[in-house]
Amino acid sequence: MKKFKIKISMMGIAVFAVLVLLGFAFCPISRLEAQNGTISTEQTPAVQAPAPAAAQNAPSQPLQRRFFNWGPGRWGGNLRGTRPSSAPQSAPAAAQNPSAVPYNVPAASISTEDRSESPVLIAAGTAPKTVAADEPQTADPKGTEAQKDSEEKDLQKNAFPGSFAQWDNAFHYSWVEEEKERHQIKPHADNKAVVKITKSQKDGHTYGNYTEADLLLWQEETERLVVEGSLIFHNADLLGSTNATSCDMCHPDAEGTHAETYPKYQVQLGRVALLRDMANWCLKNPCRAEPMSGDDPRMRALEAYMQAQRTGKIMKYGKH
Amino acid sequence: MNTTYRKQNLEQQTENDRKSFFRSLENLDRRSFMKVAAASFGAASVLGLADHGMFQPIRITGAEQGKKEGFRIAYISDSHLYVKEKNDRFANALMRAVQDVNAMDPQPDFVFYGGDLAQLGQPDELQLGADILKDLKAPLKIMVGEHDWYFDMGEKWRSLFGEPNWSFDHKGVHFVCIMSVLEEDFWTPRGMNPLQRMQTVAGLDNHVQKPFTVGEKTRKWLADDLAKCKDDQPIVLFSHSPLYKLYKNWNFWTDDAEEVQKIIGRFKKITVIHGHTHQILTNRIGNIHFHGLLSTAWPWPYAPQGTPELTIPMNRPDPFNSNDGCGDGEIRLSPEGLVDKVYKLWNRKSILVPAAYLASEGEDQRPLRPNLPSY
Repeated sequence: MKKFKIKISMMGIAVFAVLVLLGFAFCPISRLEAQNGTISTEQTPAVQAPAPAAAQNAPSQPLQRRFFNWGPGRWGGNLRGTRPSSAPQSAPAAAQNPSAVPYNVPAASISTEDRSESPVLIAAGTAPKTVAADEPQTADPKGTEAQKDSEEKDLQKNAFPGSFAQWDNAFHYSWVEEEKERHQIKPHADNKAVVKITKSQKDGHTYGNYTEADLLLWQEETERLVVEGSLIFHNADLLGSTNATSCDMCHPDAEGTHAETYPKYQVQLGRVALLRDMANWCLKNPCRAEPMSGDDPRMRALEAYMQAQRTGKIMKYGKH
Repeated sequence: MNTTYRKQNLEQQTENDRKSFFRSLENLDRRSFMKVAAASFGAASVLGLADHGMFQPIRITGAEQGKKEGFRIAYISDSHLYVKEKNDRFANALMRAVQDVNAMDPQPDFVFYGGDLAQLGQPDELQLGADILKDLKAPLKIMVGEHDWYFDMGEKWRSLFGEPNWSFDHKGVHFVCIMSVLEEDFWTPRGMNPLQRMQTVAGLDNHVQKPFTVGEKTRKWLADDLAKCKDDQPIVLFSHSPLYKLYKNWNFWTDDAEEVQKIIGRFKKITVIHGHTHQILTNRIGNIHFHGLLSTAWPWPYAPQGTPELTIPMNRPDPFNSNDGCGDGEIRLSPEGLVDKVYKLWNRKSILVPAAYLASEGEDQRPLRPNLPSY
């Protein structure tokens, strides 16, 4: 009976350990924290050194978080970065991990000049280390201990595949800059007048005092949505087109989209159409793609781009 | 659901109307039929709907002995073919154009293809285009466009069609074709592969690519080729990009256009025919007349700026009709060696831009303005 009880409790411990491990694998909180870099992986020992009971049962491969694939090719994940405080070399980060490039941005748009030396972020929060491109990144001339150390770090990297390069904040801005270089985006409105409000006005202001930094933030956030729209507008795959047709083939620089004339009675549809209805018509017909729902992030971005490109046109709804 | 239902109803109604109309026509005797036919032609002429291709009997110039003959060339341009499995719309459009040209009676002296046969310069796309164009009854003369070139730098195109620069004399007119879509190397510094290079060039509003040039080598070739021609010999020069500066952002532009204009400026009867712009474009610089070509694939909107004054823009195409704004056409050479340009729009009436309109700087024979509403 006693033996049986011990057996039961041992099994209980094993099951608990497995649950704990699974919990770590699926836990969204730990994932988000790791993404934000608020918790460096060195501070989460459970991932580095799994519970011994589980270790006996677990396969010998390093623990992989393959269920989370936020970054490359997924919506949302790679669009939520914040601006880096200093501007590190952004291109190499993408070059180092080409799979992390969003929307299949051609690798060619990454400048080759910086490829010879790539900064490698060993762990979040540590200083980038520069490694020559042809030198293996784990190489360490100092004895076996250093070798072990680097192996351990490698293991950490494997536990979060691609996470370091992928969540390097600098990266998020690289695709915006690249897209801006490829396609001309109409300039954002100048809001300097907002900062110039006199002191007496400031006191009664609902939202407090705005600074240049606020303006910059507004502009960058807005522009990023527009640039994202440009990226989709020019890419048949992102539009879901099944016949390799993209918007820009008929509407270079969003010309001829007439975003300023919607809503209007679209004669051919026999009903009043919003810009997104017309965009969806184009998706369904010339592009042979699935239409997007109104709150589809892609549709939001497309609308943002088309409207931004029609800056300066006179808004006149219903115009034919 | 409601809309679909209503739409079907409307379609049905139109169909029924049409059926009853044709039924009533069948019931006419011969005399009444002639009356109806004459009346409809008259009405069409009055309304300005008479189509140059449809109603006008084709005048075969120079029937008298000893007089110089005029002649005509058909053109097809900018088909932007994908392989059929990917997209059959563009292939179908090209086949339609080939049928149009084959239906011309009498047949044109030759058919000119204005470049951009393929969309991404893939060997399969070019081969498909070559196969479709083989059905043409009249001989084919073909120009290269940037979409044909930048995947393999013209390798496949040259294997199919030969050198991009060519010239020949036909009935006293000297025809020259030059490759005008040379771009400075932007791909090597960026480490682009051939497909990325091609995709960059294929994007009309892509700013990574460089402006088109004819290039020193081709300019020299052109100067040498034209050296033997007298100043009063009629010349027709084909180039894919317009040989003037229209709108740089979309490469409706040739960077060394002025230098080419200097070479050809001495001729009294010189016409430049260009593809690339997918729309009706008319311009005159000095003696040089410029005409655009229609595309079979899709029309492009007019550039926000730079459209020449002599251009009478075509209608805003209806997106709901994939053929609207597309088409092919004719280049009619008058006995004097000047070009009357016919734009055969598939979904609209054809537009004729006569040489006299350009020669008189827009005073005489002004082409009809589009009379249909835009959408």
